[in-house]
Amino acid sequence: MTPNLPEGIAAADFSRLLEELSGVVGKSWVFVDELPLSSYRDAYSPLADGTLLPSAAVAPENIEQIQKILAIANNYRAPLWTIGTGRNFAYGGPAPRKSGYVILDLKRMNRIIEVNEKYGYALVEPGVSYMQLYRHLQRIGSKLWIDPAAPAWGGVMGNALEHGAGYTPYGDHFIMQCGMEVMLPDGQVVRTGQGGIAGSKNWQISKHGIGPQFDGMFTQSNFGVVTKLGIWLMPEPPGYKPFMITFPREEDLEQIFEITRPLKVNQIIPNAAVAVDLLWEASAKTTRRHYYDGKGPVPPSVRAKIASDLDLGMWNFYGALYGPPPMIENNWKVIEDAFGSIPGAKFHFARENDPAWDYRVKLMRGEPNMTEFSIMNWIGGGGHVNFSPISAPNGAEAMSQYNLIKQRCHQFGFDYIGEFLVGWRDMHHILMIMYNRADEAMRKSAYDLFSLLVDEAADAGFGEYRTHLAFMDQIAKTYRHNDGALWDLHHRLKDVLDPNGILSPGKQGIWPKAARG
Amino acid sequence: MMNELNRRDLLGAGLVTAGLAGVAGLGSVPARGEPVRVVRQQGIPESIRFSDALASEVPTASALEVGPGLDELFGYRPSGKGVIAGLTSDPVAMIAGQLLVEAGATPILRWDHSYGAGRWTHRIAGQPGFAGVSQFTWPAVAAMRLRDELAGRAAGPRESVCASEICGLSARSPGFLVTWAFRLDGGVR
Ligand SMILES: Cc1cc2nc3c(=O)[nH]c(=O)nc-3n(C[C@H](O)[C@H](O)[C@H](O)COP(=O)(O)OP(=O)(O)OC[C@H]3O[C@@H](n4cnc5c(N)ncnc54)[C@H](O)[C@@H]3O)c2cc1C
Repeated sequence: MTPNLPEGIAAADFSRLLEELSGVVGKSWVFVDELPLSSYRDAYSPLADGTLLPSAAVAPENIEQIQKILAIANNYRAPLWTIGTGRNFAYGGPAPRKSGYVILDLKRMNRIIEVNEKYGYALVEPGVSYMQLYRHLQRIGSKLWIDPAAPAWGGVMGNALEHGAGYTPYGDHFIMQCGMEVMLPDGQVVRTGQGGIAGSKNWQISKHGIGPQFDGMFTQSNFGVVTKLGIWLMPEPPGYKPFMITFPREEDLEQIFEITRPLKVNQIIPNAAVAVDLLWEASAKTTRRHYYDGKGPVPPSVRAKIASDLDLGMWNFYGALYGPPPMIENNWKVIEDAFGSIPGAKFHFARENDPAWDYRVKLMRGEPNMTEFSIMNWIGGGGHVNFSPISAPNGAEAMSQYNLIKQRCHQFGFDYIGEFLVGWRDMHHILMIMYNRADEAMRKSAYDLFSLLVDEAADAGFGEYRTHLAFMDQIAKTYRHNDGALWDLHHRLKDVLDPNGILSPGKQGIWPKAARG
Repeated sequence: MMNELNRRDLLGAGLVTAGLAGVAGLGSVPARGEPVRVVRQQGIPESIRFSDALASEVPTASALEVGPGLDELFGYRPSGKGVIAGLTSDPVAMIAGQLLVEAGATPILRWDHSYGAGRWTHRIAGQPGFAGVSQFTWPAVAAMRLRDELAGRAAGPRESVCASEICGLSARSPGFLVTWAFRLDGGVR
């Protein structure tokens, strides 16, 4: 049995706790041995190995069992760490915020409760993965699309709760979420929005109801266990036209977003388009060692060679059009004219033997796959962590954020590997810091770089939209307005809803009173 | 170029990508004659050579071909007893490891093969043995080693790191590969 006891719980009490949990879910669904528990580690962590290890995991199959588990946890004041599909890699995977937590693993609760073809939505449990929902829709002959994040094994619910993103017009998953069922820490079950009406027929149709809207409170938080979630699904359009535009210079980024903003805000480009930097794009097809064996960032001459060999730009813009073909062609003319004004812009509608093009074309039409993991071959050795600040769809701002981040990456000896994903009015700037996990100095450097970027970005007025376990507290502290009033509010809510601090203590820097001192 | 590692370092530390802390969870090597499923990564020359070599050496081996999207891994439901193994890119080794441990499989081994400064470096079990092996044939040697491990004829308790002579890197190689194997005991979690 594991020695990582939860803080403040004696070994004898922990044994009793496990016995009680086994009484609820059966012995075979309580994991305490090293091997099964090893699957709850973050394989890519920027922290030293063995830093965040659970004491146990418990896997219920229905809400009655969750209710009993919460009662037991309240009794022992045991910290639970809730996961759905548990694939939150790049941000901590299934690992807990601190060693000793008990993982509340909801993978077994993987029912697709409803698919509504008429209104275009699904109602799912926490363990439903993109791949599972996609295959289900295929099987039943549905004409609805899903909007997967790049990892097909991610969860419809977990990703939406993390404010994650996909690449179709339904790419902002929290916006496309509609209606939740949540279990509060004391076991009470609440349905949000129209779900508050007994027997509501419109729970997944409208987010609105009388009174405050609570859904957001249960995202990136530790105020409840979400047990059902509605997600809107896009009807298959009559036409689909994916495109990529390559731009030859780094400084083209400024123009790219000056042009993108009106096209996006006016819905000429309807999907979550991305501007991907040269090395991210290249890493899906080749590796650094094929081009450069030196230390530090790949030099400009080598970058130019990579771009030329692979027919890529310094920036590579992916978007897609959807709808009746005449409408697509009409909108395409507007897009072509606009981006064609950037010198050297090159338009691509098909690419041979290009896995990056292939997987992005699939993602933009809602087909889940795992191809993007291959970009980790760039360095080898698996480590990576995503630094994800928000930027405005504004050329100058994107350029200044890019320069700030690239400069620091280079100073720490890392390549800048990043992309900007365009939302409704914002952009997620994703910097993937890659390192070899077996190279301790490199891992430590990645950690230090990330930490510095958090503070420097905050000083420049930029905040992250999401983060890895290791930086939750640091990032929470950057939300400084009015003496940190926002996190005070989170803590006040935490104390009222979860006085024993059993649910995911420390998630996004929200700690129970006892841990705040 | 060679240095000794202990078995724990080699078998244990490497398994970190599959999420393991040490050797405590390592399964015993399965008996001869059990089915061996070999994950063969499309387009990766080393993976193909490894899988071909294993198939010709182990009569019970059959290939599970995976494309870049890895759909096939998600369709694969481990059942019955046997071994699942592969020489794949590091990300695929991680993904397979995660899925297999969750399905109740037990890791048997993990060897790393990385290319840098014009050489392949192999972290393997047993005698070094890879030093003189060419850029093209080392995956087949890895397959033979794995065959010996599976048959209980491992080269001994020694583990080693060895580097090849100066050689090239094939354009389609990920340059960092992992030989891995898991044991299935028939139950699915
Ligand atoms: C190569 C690569 C590419 C990636 N691309 C993308 C991308 O395109 N878009 C993107 O958004 N992300 C991306 N990611 C990040 C991440 O892998 C995905 O977001 C993934 O979907 C998150 O894991 P999950 O869906 O399994 O969620 P989980 O791990 O199940 O959950 C995530 C978090 O949500 C909370 N949570 C989950 N379930 C519940 C519940 N029932 N009740 C309360 N809280 C809960 C928990 O805090 C949990 O830690 C990428 C990662 C990698 C490595």
